[in-house]
Amino acid sequence: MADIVYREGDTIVACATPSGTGALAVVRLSGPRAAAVADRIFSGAIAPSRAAPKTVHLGAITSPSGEKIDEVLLTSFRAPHSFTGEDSIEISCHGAPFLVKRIVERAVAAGARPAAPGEFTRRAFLNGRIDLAQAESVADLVGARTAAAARTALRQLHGRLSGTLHRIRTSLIDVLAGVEANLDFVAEEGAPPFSPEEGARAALRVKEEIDRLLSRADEGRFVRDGVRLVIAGRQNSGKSTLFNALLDEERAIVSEEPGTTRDVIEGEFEEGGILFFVSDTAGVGGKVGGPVEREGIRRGARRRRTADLVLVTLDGSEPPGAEDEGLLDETAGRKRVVVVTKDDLPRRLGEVPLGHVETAIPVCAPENRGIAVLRETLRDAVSGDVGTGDPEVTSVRHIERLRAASKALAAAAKVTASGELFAEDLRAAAAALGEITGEGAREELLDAIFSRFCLGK
Amino acid sequence: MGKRRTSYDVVVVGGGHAGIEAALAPARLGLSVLLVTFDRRAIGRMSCNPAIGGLAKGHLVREIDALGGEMGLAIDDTGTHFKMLNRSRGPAVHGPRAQADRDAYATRMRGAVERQRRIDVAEDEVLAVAAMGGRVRGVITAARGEIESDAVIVTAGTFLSSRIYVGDKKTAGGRLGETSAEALSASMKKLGFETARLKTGTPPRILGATVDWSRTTEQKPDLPPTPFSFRTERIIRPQVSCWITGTSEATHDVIRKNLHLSPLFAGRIEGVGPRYCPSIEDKVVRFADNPSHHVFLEIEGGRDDLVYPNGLSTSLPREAQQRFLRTIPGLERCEIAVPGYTVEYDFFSTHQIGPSLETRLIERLFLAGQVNGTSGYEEAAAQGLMAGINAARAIRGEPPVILGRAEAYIGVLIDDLVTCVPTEPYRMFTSRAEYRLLLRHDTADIRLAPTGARIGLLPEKVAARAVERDRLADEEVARLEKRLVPPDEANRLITAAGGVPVKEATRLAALLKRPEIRMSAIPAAMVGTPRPPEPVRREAEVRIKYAGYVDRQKRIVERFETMEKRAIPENFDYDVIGGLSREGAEKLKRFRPGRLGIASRIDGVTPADISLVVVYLDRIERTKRKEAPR
Repeated sequence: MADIVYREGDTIVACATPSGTGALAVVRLSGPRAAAVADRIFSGAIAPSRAAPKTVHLGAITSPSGEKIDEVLLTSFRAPHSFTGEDSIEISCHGAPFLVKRIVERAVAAGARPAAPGEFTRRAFLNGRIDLAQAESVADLVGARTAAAARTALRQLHGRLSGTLHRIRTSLIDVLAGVEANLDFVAEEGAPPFSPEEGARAALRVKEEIDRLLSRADEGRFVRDGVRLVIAGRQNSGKSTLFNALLDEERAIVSEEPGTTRDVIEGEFEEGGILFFVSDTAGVGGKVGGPVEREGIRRGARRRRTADLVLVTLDGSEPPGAEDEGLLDETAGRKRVVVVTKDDLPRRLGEVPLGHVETAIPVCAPENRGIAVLRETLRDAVSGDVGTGDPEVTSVRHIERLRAASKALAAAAKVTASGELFAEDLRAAAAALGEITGEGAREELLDAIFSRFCLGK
Repeated sequence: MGKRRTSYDVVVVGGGHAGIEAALAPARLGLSVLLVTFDRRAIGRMSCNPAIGGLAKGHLVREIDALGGEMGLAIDDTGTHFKMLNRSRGPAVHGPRAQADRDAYATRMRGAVERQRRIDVAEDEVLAVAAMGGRVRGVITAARGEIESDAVIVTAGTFLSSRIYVGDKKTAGGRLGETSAEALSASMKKLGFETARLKTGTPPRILGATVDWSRTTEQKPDLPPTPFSFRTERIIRPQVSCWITGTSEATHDVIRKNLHLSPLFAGRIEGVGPRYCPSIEDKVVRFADNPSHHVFLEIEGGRDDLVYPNGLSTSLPREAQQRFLRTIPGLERCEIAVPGYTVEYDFFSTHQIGPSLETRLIERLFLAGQVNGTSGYEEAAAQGLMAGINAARAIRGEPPVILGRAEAYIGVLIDDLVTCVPTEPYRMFTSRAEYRLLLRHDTADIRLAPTGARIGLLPEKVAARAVERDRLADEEVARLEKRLVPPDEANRLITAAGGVPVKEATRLAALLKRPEIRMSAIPAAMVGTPRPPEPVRREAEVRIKYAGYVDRQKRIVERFETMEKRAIPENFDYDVIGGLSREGAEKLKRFRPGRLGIASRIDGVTPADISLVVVYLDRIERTKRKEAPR
């Protein structure tokens, strides 16, 4: 656990201005790879790694798929002439917390590590950029967090969330105690029998609980950051008309590019307090023309993969085709909404493809019929539990640790035949959760073992 | 009294499992040693069960052996019932265990000590450790007076101000019928050492002739037995069985009716006992639903023909013990030779020792074994060996040998002690090792034999053999990773084992990675040639099966390496750091960790505390660099 505050020489990122609602905020990257990380998330006239020291550049932070997250000013600093004394990049962005958070997330995805409290200042001190008196005030600052010791880690979370995490971790420790007792004591000493099947089930039960938290982390993100919605359907199924109908309601088309090189058209609308970033993609199926069209189709497929929500259009006036089936298969198990378009024309679609579909909303876009229902359905699809007051994970670090725990549990469920490997993965999952809750006392596991089983000769 | 030598390099106080290794190691390294014990016949005496090894403890024995200790060789010579525990589970948690002929084991150990050149044995009592200016000067004994030495190792076991309880009877003594070291404990306190109380118990011993074996279940030993020592070729001693019986409701009734006579339940004992080794009273009370508890009748052998009923540790009055024993199948007519009892004793809070087992208060004074709050012969011997090695090295001006948590269970044991004061007698468990997969018992020689040889306790050729096996195993893994198996052949194996078939030719290593497929199931023709010797094949198979996990653990070890190695100066002043948490500051000052890694494991020290310590360590180094002349 302590390594995160000790490792040096890596590149860290965090918001360097007080969190809250200032009009502007500064996200700082510091470390040897600062410019390299910035190269991957910044698009502007010049790559940050080629920018001269102490120069300012206008550009945008973009998502992996090329969407603009925010327009920013980027300033480049070269060691030792920066706040920390290391290579640094400072990004001035708009102050909205969700924007700041998305930029930090992007930097983390591009290879930076979220900075620990006081870490910029510590590096500044180590590199001789600030004096001892200043460093000691940092010590006080970090110390203020420390005084509450491990409890702070818990208090940082919402009360309910910490309770939930604690409960999940306890059930995980319980599963672990069962297998560890089985490894550390022989049957005649009272070791509990260990069933691989039951072990796998128990691990997956815990995983489900973590995944539920993670899915709510998505929902929380939607409220703050908006939803990436992609419209997909075969050619001529009425996607573009639908796109316009969705946006026209708000008259809020911010960008519309002709489908020449990038056959993806974007816009945004708001429904029930949630912002939707919509992309209209090239239709699937039909005759595939030249390289430009093929590229458009490829991009459309990529968009569908990275979307938060897919809106599948089925042409109500045509019999179902293989493309429809393919698209429904592709999006099965994802967040999606299905519409049947051209509701004004005679229905020839039939029920066949609808066999896999939960519900399909009939719309007639040119007449604006069904659009209001569709917009509400889209909102419900992403805001499901948001209003119920269930706990929500917000911190990037916490989400990352929860994902690690979930992954370890999935691995655990596959190796139950070998108790010591099963235990290994469960330990990794427990450690990841412990890094959020601040739990992980050394005797905890033995306490759990001895409180549950009558062990020992 | 003739002319007796009054000056030695090392004095060892106590002749138990810790004391034996603590005396042998420096003597074998060329130093003169005086071992002081109440009674030389008690050297190597097994106070509790007549067995060595077990889960995690077996690992310790093999590590002791790989470093050149005596315990593995002694049990190989005197073991009468070898069994590899946990065979049905993975190789990392297999645990070698052997019951010993109790008298033969003690005689074997006494012989090793008495025959060892440069060791003198004195039947005497150490009253005090003599120190001057913060450094040890020797010991003061009852009969010989002052004995000078450059180092002293205290391995007094359960004998420090010890009290024995049998029912409502309380006597002084570290084992039933033996004495207690009252003066030593008191004089150590006077020197400034902090002590606390622990307790442990043992079952009654039964006369073998009074047991009806026909009413018990036989448990056969492994044939052939697997030796503990990497230096033993094969076990010669004839093997005997162990016998299993169990308690019944009638037994539990007797115990319940007599609970008020147990000092444990009457609140007469303040010491804390081990949870993993509960008394039968404890088991009956805490797990009232269990209709029966296992009892293992282990043959102690020897002249007295005693039987050790493992599982029946008790401190009820002798008559009550007799009564409940006679409700157990096979023991209906049994006679008690020695009653079970509880012993309560002093140990030294472990914040007072460093990872070399040297005390912080007095230079060249080492503590090892149960005086550090541990339990078990193996835990004691491991510490005795390390204290003996490090005392010798200190005298020679060499740096101490400190094993890491990723290197050995011995490393885990000592690191645990110096970061956390035991609250119950400390026993090793495999779950205490975060790098469990790296610490298999059968790789103890690969991990440690080169160190043992470098120290000078293990013959070079034993270390060379380990290095060679390691190299050959790597080669065999590489060969199996290259060897292709056609799909139909692979699938014959896979489907037989209930796995998912493959479509294309597969590497043999990939096949072995599947948990359901064992090397033994693969036809020789498929494995190909050249085939290395059996131990190498076994090693290669485990390496392949554990590969992903072992790599992950190694990566974690590497990540922490800088932190583990970073030294904190002995005189580091925690008071100048403003922001430390109160508990963190208190613990850091109490334990005075010598390294950052150790500091990070002390309970109550937070990551933020460590971060602050790093800031100040860096500051010290920066100042030093600036001041250093160019």
